[in-house]
Amino acid sequence: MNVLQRNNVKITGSKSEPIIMYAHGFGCSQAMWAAVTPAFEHCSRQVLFDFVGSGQSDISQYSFSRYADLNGYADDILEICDALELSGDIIFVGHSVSCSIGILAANRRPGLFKSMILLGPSPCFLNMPPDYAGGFEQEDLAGLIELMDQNYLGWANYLAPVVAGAGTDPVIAGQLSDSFCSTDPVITRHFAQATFFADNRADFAKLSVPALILQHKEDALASVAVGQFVHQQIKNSQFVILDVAGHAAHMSHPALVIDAMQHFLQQELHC
Amino acid sequence: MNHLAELDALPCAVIVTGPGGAMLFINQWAQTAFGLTAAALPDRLDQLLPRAGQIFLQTHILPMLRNEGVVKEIYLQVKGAAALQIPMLLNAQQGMFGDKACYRWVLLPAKHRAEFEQQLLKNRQQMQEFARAAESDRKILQTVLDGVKDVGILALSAGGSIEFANIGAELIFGAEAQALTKSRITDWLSLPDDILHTLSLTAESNGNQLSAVQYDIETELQQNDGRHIAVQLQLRRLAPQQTLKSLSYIVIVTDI
Repeated sequence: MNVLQRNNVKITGSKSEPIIMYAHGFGCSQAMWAAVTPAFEHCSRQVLFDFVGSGQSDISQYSFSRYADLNGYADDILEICDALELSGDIIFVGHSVSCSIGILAANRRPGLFKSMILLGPSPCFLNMPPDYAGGFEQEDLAGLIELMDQNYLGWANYLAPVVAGAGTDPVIAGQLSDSFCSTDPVITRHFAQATFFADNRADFAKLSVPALILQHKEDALASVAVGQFVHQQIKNSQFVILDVAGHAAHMSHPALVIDAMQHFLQQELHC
Repeated sequence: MNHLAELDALPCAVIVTGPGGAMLFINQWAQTAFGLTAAALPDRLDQLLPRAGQIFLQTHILPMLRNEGVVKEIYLQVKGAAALQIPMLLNAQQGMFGDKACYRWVLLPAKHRAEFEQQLLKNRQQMQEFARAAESDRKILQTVLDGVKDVGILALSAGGSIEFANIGAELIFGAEAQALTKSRITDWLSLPDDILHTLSLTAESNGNQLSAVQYDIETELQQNDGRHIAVQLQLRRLAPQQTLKSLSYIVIVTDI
């Protein structure tokens, strides 16, 4: 198995430059970073990848047991670093659930990441009264799974396995569509369960890597209160609220994200 | 009637938002269907959606719209009047609203379509259960058939093509089941004229005219490596309604 092919790893920049590794969130692929990466192409070595099951990754390598929770996705990150022989000093940039995945990887391998930039993090999307309000109830997330079941993204693939006789752990074959967000619906559903039913609050509290938290001002998925919770949990963190409505400032307002990154990384990068 | 009045009269929701989702226009049909009043229109598109839809909007729809400029045939539920959710199909694309960049959203009611699709999904789930049960039954049957290693069991089509072979047949014939099922019984066994005649008759009539066919003979089998061995052969006609596949005969071969 070639990890770099499996995860569709793309690398740009000189080996002598600081390494920035970008991890995409639930939904799309590494293409989500396309408006940010040009700002760092002359001052860093940039590593982009798709989690297995997303983007243009090798879908045949998807394992329902491995990716049953976010640790399987953290394994992807660690295996990519191993394949590239990266053992430390990486600047990790994650969006949404990838913030949690990156933190799991950081805690498992201290020293791998030099610093972390967390865009729209949420350690737990569920409300956990009385102490924590992730924003969603169980039934909201069950509704999301139902919504994805009934959606059209990749429906032909979704119906196809019945013909072959699906087992309890269906074999996923073929390639994902070229479409930006088109993923196999069975995998997307599984990733959604791993993402939205996770509770990684304790893992955030263990993080010792310096982190920049980029919080969207109005975010239906990860509220300012959630961002503040993350800031409290991560001892060595900075908290910046972006004047952005939505959950993907790197796509909608890339200049704001670039500015914040450059400011945070000014000691390490000379862009 | 001016253009705005035409938009209000359309039997679907027409909404225009800024790139960040801020509401710029919502037609009358949408206001009525979604139980909105002109005095209290939502500021943002995601306020029209239940929580699940808000996640899907942020994780799939908006990224696709930003990247590709268009999304098509997305299924969504929208908060309706009287606390009901309305199943809708969404198309959206980028555009200009005056001199501002915007997204135009058209949402068509899709209640019946949603019910049909839910039924499809339910049927799919049921088919999966059937497939699992069938696979389980097949494994049991295969285990039983393969447990009899000293007896070869073959199933033949009307014309004598081998459609199934158990492990016992593999051992006696000295060939894998995959090779056996690509061959005919006459490729391996010397059969008397009356059996050959019966097979040809069965092939011509598709087996419909023959009912009770039963042969018990001793004959010679040419194994895969060319060696000849004596075998006892029992050939029985299968009742057509007993099989899903076009199987006509069961053959039991014993090395004697």
